[in-house]
Amino acid sequence: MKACDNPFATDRVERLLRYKPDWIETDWASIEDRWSKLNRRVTLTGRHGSGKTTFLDTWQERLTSKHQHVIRIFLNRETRSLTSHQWEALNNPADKIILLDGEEQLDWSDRRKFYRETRTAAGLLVTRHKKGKLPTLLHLEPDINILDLCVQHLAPAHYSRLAPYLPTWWRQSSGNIRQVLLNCYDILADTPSEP
Amino acid sequence: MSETFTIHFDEGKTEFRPGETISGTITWYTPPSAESIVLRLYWFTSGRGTQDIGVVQKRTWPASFTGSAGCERFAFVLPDEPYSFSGTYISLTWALKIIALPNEESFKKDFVVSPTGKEIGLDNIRNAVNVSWYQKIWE
Repeated sequence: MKACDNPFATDRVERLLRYKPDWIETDWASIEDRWSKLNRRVTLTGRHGSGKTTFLDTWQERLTSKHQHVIRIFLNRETRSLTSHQWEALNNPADKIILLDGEEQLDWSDRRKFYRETRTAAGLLVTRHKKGKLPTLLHLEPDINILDLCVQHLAPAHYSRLAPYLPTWWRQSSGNIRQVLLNCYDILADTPSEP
Repeated sequence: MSETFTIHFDEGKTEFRPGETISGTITWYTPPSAESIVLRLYWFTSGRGTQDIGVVQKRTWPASFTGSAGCERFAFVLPDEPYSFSGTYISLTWALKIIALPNEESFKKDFVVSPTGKEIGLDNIRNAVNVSWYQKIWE
């Protein structure tokens, strides 16, 4: 199958997969209520592939649809600090909501600087694997039923073929949904394209 | 097909050579809130890895000029590269996209850019390389 036709292509997954609070038996109203009660300065925790980035994507869309000015920063093992442009964007943050994905990648001094620069922001949400400096908005726990729903949503025509593999891949990846979706990609990549 | 936008390539053509001019007509019917219409010529990758996007050219029509409905001609000279290609792990696709700002409602139409006019299949290249390697060994 051609990459552009693969239903698990990364860009397609990011475009189509939206976080649904009912996956963790809550709703947006409750999450937003908690966000307000915690003075809009919170942490989102969860393991690799538990849905933190997908949550942030959906959360960002909700905020921007309400005309909030959102600054989104993504850090990982390859990019462990903010660029000068990103630091600059944190200036005068009073009307900005800052979403930092991968807060634990920052070293001690950058983390201190980051919290100092953002202390007057209209809102701050950081993601981490474990509890951090800010109170926890939500803790996302990997759940194989969520994986199942994601696969059904992304590739209904291929679900029956992929479903038998899911429990094994789930165990092998220690519940990393993102990794299992890449396994799905690989299986379909080896499938001949339909003429 | 979008109810808001259409993109029509002249002569219904969807396969082009590098350096060739891609031309046609766009039409739109947008809500009064639209401030401008943007037509973007770009390429994007899709596949297993992170997506790359390259915006090559764009044209903007302000809403005061366009009104809520309109029709415009466009013509862009295509660059020499990259070519459209597809394999099992990455595809590169060329497209024209109309976007109504600020709500970003959009519509895109894909097309092919390559020296042969056809999308380059990476698997065909891989097979060709393998065949020539086996031929060398055999000879």
